[in-house]
Amino acid sequence: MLNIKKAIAILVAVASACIALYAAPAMAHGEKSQAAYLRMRTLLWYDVEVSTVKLKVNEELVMTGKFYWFYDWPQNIAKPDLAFLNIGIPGPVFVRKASYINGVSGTNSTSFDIGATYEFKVILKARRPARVHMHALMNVSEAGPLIGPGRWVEVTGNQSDFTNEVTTLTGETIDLETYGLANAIKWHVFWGVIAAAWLLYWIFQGPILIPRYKTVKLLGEDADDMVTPFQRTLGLVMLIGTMVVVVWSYYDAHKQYPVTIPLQSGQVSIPALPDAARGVNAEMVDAKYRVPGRSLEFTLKVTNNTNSPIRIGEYTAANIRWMNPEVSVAEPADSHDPVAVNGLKYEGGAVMPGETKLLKVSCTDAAWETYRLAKLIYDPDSRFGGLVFFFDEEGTRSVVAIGGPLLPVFI
Amino acid sequence: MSAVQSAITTAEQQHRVYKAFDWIVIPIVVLVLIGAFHIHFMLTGGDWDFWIDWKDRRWWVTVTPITLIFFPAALHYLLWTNFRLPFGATLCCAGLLIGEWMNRVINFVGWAYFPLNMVVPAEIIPMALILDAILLISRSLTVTGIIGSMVWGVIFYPANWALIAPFHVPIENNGVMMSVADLIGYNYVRTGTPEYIRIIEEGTLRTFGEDVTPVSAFFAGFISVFMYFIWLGFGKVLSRTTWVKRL
Repeated sequence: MLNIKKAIAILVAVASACIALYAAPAMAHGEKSQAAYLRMRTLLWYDVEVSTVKLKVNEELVMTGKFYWFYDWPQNIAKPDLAFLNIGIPGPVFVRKASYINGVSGTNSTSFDIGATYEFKVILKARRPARVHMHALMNVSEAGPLIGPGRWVEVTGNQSDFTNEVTTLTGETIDLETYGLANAIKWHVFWGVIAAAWLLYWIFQGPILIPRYKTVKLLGEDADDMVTPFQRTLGLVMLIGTMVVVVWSYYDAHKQYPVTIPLQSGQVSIPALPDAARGVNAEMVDAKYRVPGRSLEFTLKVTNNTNSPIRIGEYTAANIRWMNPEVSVAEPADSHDPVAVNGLKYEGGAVMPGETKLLKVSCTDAAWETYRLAKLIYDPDSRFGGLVFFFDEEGTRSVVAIGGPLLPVFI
Repeated sequence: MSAVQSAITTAEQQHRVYKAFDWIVIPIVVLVLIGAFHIHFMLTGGDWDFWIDWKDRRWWVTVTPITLIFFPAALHYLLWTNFRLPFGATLCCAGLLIGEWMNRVINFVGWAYFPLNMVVPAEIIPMALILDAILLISRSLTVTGIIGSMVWGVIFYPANWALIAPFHVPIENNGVMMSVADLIGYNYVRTGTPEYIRIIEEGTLRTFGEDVTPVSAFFAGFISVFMYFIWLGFGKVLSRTTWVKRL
């Protein structure tokens, strides 16, 4: 007969072992899990590139790109009044040597303008060997991380070779990997030894719990007499000794480091780039998402105020690109770079200089499902957004943000 | 003659049993204490203690002593009123540091690869030794609460300056002056902890200029006094033997 208890115990043990032994590496950073309207109508990244995808420890990688703060910002998401340009990686695989937004150092947090475009550059130095999916990332206060396109990057070599040397304003060259550590450990060990001695002194007084408990109850109000004069003197020595060491260490540290500053917590304000639309205006007339065909279809009223005919080459939203290969060609950078190389088609042809025209655009790809953008119709604010890239005959690009309500078509 | 007889018949046997009781109970109490105090401090002190670039002269100085005095106060009540043992604070703080060092070395360095100097915990043993010493000398929880808790808060910053002073040396990074701690925080990428999330240097004590630390430290000591007595009360409730008797 089956022993139920034994069977359950074996099952629990096997399940625990499986969970404990199989810890799968993280393959992504939740870029698909954020709500579709959030990804399409907050921060729109484009032109994101990395200088290399394979490098050795101590070598540098540069990530560059642009981002646009969508004009139709969702009401229920905090605006980017306080934000920080970051990198999405699993722990410090790299150290960030420098970051710039429109050429201004991104060391501090920043406020951004809705409807404005900025370019960024982050210089990273490889620190430990790993193969990671790294993302551009913008942390927005009260809104959370807004994740940009990711790239697989492989770092080879040995972490023990890594150094992160800098020179302080007092002229000392230090390695940030280990700086101050020996001193901190020294003090922790010093006080730890004294604490251990203090505890062991009392614990090795003999059996302490039951006998002392009984004595306290027996002596009642006179229980304080259990503390001997020697022990009180010991307490006094420890009190004075601790105070002396604390005061001495404080002034000694001042002597060793006469020039110190408080932690810095400033913010900077960075002007936006010039308007990337460059005289092209596009208004949304209508838009629908065809569920069976996995296709976004929208009509744009486009006015061309430039001196050259323009055509649509690309639509991008939520870090996915739908390309019109007749105008602009792009290939996926790696296995996790969502590019629909032939995903965009439109009717209406070129828009001549000074002309206003209706263009019917369709963006089709399985990415609507695999990247969970089709879930937009179940969001609390079913409006979509994105960037449309127009190209003139010389390949000059105009970037125009579009967006509006989206109707689903189920049949 | 009673049907049930004690197995202990001699003083020597009794001594051995008492000693065995100590060896069983004390390690269990220490482990429970490390776990409970560590969780408490991660939830209340958290980032201020995790990161070197959170250890500022306003919030870290204020938050840490106040949230740290809870467990030492409760244990003071338990160990002093029942056993006249004056090591509750040292036991708590030493236990917490053991847990913190394990956490920093295994989790922060071993799993997440942060450099250890970025995540060194604050030094809290001197405060604990002083609190215990004042209890031993005064033999009074009231005196310990008033004087000891005030000193507890006041000496936290000077006791840690020897550790953190090197990290406050100025440095230039791409045209911006930062402390070494700021630069470490900027260099070693924390995806979920952006620069602005740090609660540092915020407050309205600008009248005091750069001498804000003593004010923060005295405030921490003042609040610690109240917290000490509140947690003595928790200690009193939690050290009742009512439930044990029922068992």
